[in-house]
Amino acid sequence: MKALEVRDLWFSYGGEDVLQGVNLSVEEGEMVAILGPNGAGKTTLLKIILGLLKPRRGEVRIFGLPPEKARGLIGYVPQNLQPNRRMPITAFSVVMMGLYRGMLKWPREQDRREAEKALEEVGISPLKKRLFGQLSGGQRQRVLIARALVRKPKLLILDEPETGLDPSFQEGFYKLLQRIREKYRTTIITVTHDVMAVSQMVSSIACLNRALVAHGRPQEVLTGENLRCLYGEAAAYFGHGPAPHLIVEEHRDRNT
Amino acid sequence: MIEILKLPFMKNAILAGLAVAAAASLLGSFVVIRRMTFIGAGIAHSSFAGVVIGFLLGISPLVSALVFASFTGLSIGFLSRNYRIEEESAVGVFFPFSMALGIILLGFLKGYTPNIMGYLFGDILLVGKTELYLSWISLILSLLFVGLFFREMVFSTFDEETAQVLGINTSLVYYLFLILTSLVIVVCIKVVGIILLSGLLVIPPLAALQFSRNMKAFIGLSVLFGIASFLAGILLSYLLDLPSGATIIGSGFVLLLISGAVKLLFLRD
Repeated sequence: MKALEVRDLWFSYGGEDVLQGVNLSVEEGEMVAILGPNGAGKTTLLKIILGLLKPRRGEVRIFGLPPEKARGLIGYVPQNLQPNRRMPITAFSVVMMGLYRGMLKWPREQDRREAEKALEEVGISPLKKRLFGQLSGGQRQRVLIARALVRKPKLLILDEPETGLDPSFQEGFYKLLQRIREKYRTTIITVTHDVMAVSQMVSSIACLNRALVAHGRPQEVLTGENLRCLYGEAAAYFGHGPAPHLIVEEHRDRNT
Repeated sequence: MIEILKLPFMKNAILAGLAVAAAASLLGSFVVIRRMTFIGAGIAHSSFAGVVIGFLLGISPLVSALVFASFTGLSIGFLSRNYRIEEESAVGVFFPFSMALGIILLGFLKGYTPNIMGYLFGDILLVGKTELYLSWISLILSLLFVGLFFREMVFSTFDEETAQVLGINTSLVYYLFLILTSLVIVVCIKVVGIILLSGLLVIPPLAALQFSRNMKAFIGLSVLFGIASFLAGILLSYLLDLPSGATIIGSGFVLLLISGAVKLLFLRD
């Protein structure tokens, strides 16, 4: 079954077409990285998939359902979340948020056990009573993943999850995603700048630059032509952090 | 304290003050955590124009202040959410504009000049039966709001986008919160005054934040500190013959200093 089907999607901000006829199809159990330069419309696409924005034209189906009816199937990890660091809320309470069912529907004992399990899953059970604002970037990101996982999502959506992560932790982080995918057959869609980190793990890469430039297996997609289309002539810089990867024509040969 | 309660005007003032101190620190907890402190001050100051319009039209200044304050609060909220104008900038426009409007309109008041200083800095003697009833109504409404929307408020404060994905109508919760905050602010005016009002909204939660590890404890402690600041302030102002509003805010400030010191000396993480 198709986990995600995006058909002829158009979206405009102030008269400017940010998304131009995007088509994207993702099979259940796939892990897809959405790649593209700043301003390519990656986050906008995610927000439409999540039902937070309405497209000007086109439609989105998640396991056959429109976004607003598919919310129960989705787990979401937002980009670079910056809540007030002094907010008195523990890691455990943050995970419990994922089990919100509606107004006046209070959490049950079962929910607490689920939250404990999700924290265990991402390996930070011992930190459950710590205040969220006192955790490191990597620990906070794990809590947010646990919050998404506790919903037992069929589709996990992450928006630049590597932002703010210690580079040494990034590999472990992607391995965690891969483990989740294998264990629960969760479909994962992640927006990323860091193509080198994910290219070994994802089943496909979607290159977006307002329109969908390419979508396919990493080795098919990461060609010089596509990268030029995304990042301009001659070379492309990827990645956050102090040492971005530089991809030049010579590397292309190795990839293809 | 019991001696003070025997004075009829003080009884009203204390009962009304207790309710508004509790309501202000209850909603103030979210004001502080949502980093909306400046909005609180903005709404309070904008009610000044509302007060003067009330006198000009010969209607209750409380009613006109409430309309004006709610309008300002909602406008700031609407502009910042829909037009990418920062909340602070929106407040920076409405705050001086409303004060300016109030001062200009003040010139049109002929004959009877109301006790403007009482509105600016608070005057417990101005608190009558209407304020007493309104203060308790605003406390009950605030308690109902926080009781009903506690998780919705906490989630949308922590991560608004994901709260929306979870199905929470974050705009509705936000605007309800702004209207209620405006109501509480207007009811507080006569107790602490427009100028000092944000202190009642912000100081008790800041003191409570030093000791809280979850939102419920934080809100509870904040209300407790709000009530304590009010009672200490009103008692001191009576005993030492000091202005009530300023003494209440001063007591809150001392409480915050003590809380900070206790945290620093004994409870460092």
